[in-house]
Amino acid sequence: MKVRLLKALNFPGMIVIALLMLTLQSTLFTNQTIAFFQPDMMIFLVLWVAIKRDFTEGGILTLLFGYCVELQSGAPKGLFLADYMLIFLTARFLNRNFQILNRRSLILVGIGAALFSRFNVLFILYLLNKAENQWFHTVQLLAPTAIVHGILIPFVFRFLHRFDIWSLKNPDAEHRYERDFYLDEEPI
Amino acid sequence: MLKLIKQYRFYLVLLLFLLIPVLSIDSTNRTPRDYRFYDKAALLITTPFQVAIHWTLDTAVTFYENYLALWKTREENLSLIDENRKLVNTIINLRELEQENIRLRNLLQFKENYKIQTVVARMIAKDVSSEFRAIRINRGSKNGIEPNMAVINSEGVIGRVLRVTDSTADVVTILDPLSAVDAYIMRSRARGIVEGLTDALCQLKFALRVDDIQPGDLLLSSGLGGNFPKGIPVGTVIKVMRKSFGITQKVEVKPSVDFSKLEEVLVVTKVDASPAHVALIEKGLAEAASAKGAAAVKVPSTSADHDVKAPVGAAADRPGATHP
Repeated sequence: MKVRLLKALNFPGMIVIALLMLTLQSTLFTNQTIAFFQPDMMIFLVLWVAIKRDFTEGGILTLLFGYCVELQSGAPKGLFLADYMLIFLTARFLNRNFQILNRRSLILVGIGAALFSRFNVLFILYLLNKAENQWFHTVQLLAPTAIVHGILIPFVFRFLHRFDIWSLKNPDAEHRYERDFYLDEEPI
Repeated sequence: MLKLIKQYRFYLVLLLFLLIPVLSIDSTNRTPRDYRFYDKAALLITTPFQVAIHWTLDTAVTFYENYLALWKTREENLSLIDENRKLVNTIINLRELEQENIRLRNLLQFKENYKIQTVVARMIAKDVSSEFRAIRINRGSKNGIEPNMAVINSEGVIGRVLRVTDSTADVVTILDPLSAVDAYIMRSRARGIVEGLTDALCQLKFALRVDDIQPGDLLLSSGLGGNFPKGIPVGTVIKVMRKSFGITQKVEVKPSVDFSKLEEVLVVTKVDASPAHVALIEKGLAEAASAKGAAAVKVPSTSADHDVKAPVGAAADRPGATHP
């Protein structure tokens, strides 16, 4: 019963985490002095669900993340939905052929996703005939944000990993929990 | 049928995942949007946190400015430490109050000058993405705010309301690439559309190449569309790029509002300005500019390709100095 409850909490928990991350992003990270390095926290969540969730659940979560971002932004409707879905599908596709073996490769994934996201947004704005004013700004922010994403991704992934263990979404955690449970049942 | 769906389930889900974002992309991207009930539910979770974090940051900054920055002074004046700290804290608090008083008085004066009905609001959050420059204010539909209302302060135009909840509203600033404000040059009456360019600059689009635009010219809102009152300062021309061919010229504009120091704003709920009143405001703005005694900047002839840049310091100080 407890396992089921905790597992059921994982999905809404991810949404709440997304909303809290967005709150941080719209208050702390918009501070004038660090605005230049403002990370897009949703990219981390999208990457996480692309790697750790099945296709349908991950896709639905990605759409919800996009919706949450659009709620907190003045961006054209659908821009972030499309951006995050592209990141999700690309990450899933790459995950079939490549593995994240160590921290260095994880940092590369963070940097790559940040760059990919920036160009995605630029491309969608180009399709909407709005990229004219944006490309210079994008190029300016490309390197700083990519580095910040690279630095932050191990920490965010560690946090999400812990959350998955707590909510027993992680298969190992579930097995360990069941093993402990049966050990408790054994007579002394 | 069910078997077929099961067989192609992956492709069907993939198609759905691709279709949803594509169909939801708003190609018009300037239409005002309203929050739906589920949007409001999600905002209900984030808004208190935003307000709390903003308050914590404010308090931390105030704490730093009022106390930690004075730590050294306290050490140097050990004998008078208690008395000194109290006095200095009181002075700082009074100065803060004075600054706030000046800001609010400016807003009040501005409101009276322009004969508009407004709601005073405070900025509580900024846009989550660095590509767009929207802000969130702490007043919503409960306070009479509706989408498309103009948002200004004593310095000039800030933007327009994009969407509202009961207690908050999102404002698209004029720095946002998707914002557009119809404006005219006060000196030559040349018109154009002001759109966002970077974090600190806008551009005047669709200004004809033959239009007389010079660095230092003041741009005012035209009042077209009925959202913005006529005659509100939008910005100052800082750079004009005119080629020997083409229909339009490229004009860079520095907004009148300093967006990095934005705190209180006015949301215009009702505009009530007659043409005679607008002329009076323009006269006042021109007099204020010429009182600063800034030098006029000559614009080169339009026959060759050239860039015209305002000299440092002149751009902001010279609006309307050469009124015809």
